[in-house]
Amino acid sequence: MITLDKAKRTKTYKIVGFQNAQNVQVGVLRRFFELGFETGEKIKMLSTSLQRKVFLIEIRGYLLSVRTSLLACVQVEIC
Amino acid sequence: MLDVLLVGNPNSGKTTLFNALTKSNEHIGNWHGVTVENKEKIFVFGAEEIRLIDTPGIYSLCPLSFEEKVAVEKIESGAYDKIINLCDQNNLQRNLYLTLCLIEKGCDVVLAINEMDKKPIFKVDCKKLSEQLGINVVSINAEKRINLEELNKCLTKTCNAHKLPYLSKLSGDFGQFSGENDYFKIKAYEKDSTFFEKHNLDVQKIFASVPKDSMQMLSKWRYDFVSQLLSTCAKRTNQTYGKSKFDTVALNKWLAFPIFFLLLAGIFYLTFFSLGAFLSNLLGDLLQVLTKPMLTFLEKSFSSSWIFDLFNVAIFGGVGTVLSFLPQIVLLFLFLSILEDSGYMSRIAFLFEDIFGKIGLSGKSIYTLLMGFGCSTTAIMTARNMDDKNAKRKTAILCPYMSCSAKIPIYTVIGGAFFGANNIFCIMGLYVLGVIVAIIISKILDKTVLKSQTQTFILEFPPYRMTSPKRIGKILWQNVKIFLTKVGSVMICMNIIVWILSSFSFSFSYVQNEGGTSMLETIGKIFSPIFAPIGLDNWAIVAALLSGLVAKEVVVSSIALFNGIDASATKLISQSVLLPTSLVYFASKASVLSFLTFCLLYTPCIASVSMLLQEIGKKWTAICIAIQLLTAYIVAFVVYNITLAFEVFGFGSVCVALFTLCVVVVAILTIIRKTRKGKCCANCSTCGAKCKK
Repeated sequence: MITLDKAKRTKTYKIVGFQNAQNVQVGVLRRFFELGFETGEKIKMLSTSLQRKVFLIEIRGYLLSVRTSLLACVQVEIC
Repeated sequence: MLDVLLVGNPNSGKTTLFNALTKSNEHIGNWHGVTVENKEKIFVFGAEEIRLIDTPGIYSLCPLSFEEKVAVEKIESGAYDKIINLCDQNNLQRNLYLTLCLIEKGCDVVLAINEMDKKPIFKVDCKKLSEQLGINVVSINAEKRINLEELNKCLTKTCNAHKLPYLSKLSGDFGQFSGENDYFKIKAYEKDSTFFEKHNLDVQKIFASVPKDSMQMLSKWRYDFVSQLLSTCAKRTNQTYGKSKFDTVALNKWLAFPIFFLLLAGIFYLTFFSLGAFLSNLLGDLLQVLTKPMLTFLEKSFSSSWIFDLFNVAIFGGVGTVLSFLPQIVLLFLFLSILEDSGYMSRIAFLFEDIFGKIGLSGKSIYTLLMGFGCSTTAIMTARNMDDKNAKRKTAILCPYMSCSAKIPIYTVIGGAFFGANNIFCIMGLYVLGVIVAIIISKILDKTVLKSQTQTFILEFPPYRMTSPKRIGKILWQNVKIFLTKVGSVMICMNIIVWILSSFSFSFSYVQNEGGTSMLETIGKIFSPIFAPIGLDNWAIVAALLSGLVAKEVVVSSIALFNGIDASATKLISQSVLLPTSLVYFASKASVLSFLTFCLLYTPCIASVSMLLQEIGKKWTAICIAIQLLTAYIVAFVVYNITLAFEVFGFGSVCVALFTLCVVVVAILTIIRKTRKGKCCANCSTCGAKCKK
């Protein structure tokens, strides 16, 4: 099990849980839930920015770019 | 009167629907956060007057950014009769999440499903969905204005939404609030502290009464219910919303930035030098043909020379000069709008997040800054889509450094007169200089008074879309209208004021006939010593700069008023349209560069300042103006003296001197860095100043 900020490009992951992470406020975690992050949901890593500070992911059939540090609160395992 | 709120996810087509229903022309774009404030307009349907209020996009009733707060506050206020919840048919699952939030709150909702593409991802049975939710559901196409009458009919019908089944699962000890409606419990589950603080309630006590993972539980219930709904009411294809093969190129780490910069260079080249210049010259010729007989008529009609001068100089001369730039300004807005509509902006924000993060901005700032190349006033407002207050302030402060379209006449007329065909490099250089100065200012602000907190860059990728010919026509017409209104109001008024001040003395004698010093010359001469160190110690230039505080286009028309520009000239923009008399205003090419630099960086127009006041408050607007004036002066001073040195000592000598200076600066910085290294980490001899051990 890893956190989503450590994920590799083009791989698909399954969310296994959420954890408290530094710099991730309640509002951000709530926003993730609103956007469809849910235990058991699949996330595909599509691309990263040059310095890996932003990830482009596919979730629930749409594309989302998220600052990598925020994804430290999402625990995933490879599918 | 029926008050109706238009609510939906970002980029679901709310403003397109608003424009269609109210026959308005509000700004739209393929980007999350184009609408940043509530907009309202009344329209009539049958016998009913409907006040439609367009709100910024939201994902739920828990706001994260400033513009979301505007929309949620409006919904929370309850000051409306109905809500149109617009859902994007291609992303129905997430859009219906918001619908559930609205039903939970007890809002009277009409669900409008917007068909944005020919091959949608979801095919919905609206009748079944309506039965399941107990609300009116109607399928529409906002862009093509299909089924809008059906939607309007739904507004006059009353519906009672079914109670959502998962609400019975809400548990917890809410004490005295047990009898309250479900919305109170939902807010507790969502851990929305702002909501409870607003009602002066003990947040900690309430949060302790709900399960620890209540937020996750609630969102799971909602998504499970949406999935259940869609399994019976909709069919889904396997497409991914927003995914495109072009992204493999547009986001490629080697190609992404060259593509972006090439695109930008192409836009500026077409605007300033090829298509834009051709159209400008064409319009110039047309204006000349039109104004000549009018001037002949005026000359014959008025015996008094000052009345003829007023029309000839202030109106036809001053305004005419700026009017010929209409094609270039409109073209720039058109290209920016096409860029905005294409969906490429989100990709640019993604690419720039790395770089912008280092200077304390968000990748989303790129939208505001790029829009700043069009008009700073409207661009400043878009800074609202930042989540961090300091990032919002910084973005708004930096926006005026992006050279706005109003400065195009200054660069082309003044620069063209002195640099001829080489003006292309001068203009490009000015644009780049504005960006460089903005980066430096941002870095300084980030290290001092506006330190950025952790920003929440979460941005959806919209699909790529082509701009329709109808939309191109609308953009062109809208911008022509705005420009002509500005020319017809502000420009004419300002030119008449400047002409009166420059033609009459304080004793109200007409200086052209009776001689003496005009009011403007007297005022200009008071301020000109301040501008002497930057090579602009001429009263006319100072007066032009002062008049530019109202609108930047007035700078050029003011110089035209002082008999500086041949308004009837229709030469190529790379050639001079300045009359020889005006050459004395600028002592040398160094003065011209200094003038252009100062124009690029000094205080923006009065409309931008008032927008800054609205967005960042009095204190930060005052700071912003002070920074801009100081920066403009310092940079103009540096540009003036370096250019002067090139003229006096020659290119080689100055290059050697500048190289030596750079070496010295680098050496000093290295020494400082090494000294700090020792202080930073005593136990480690290998790390740098930013040691993380």
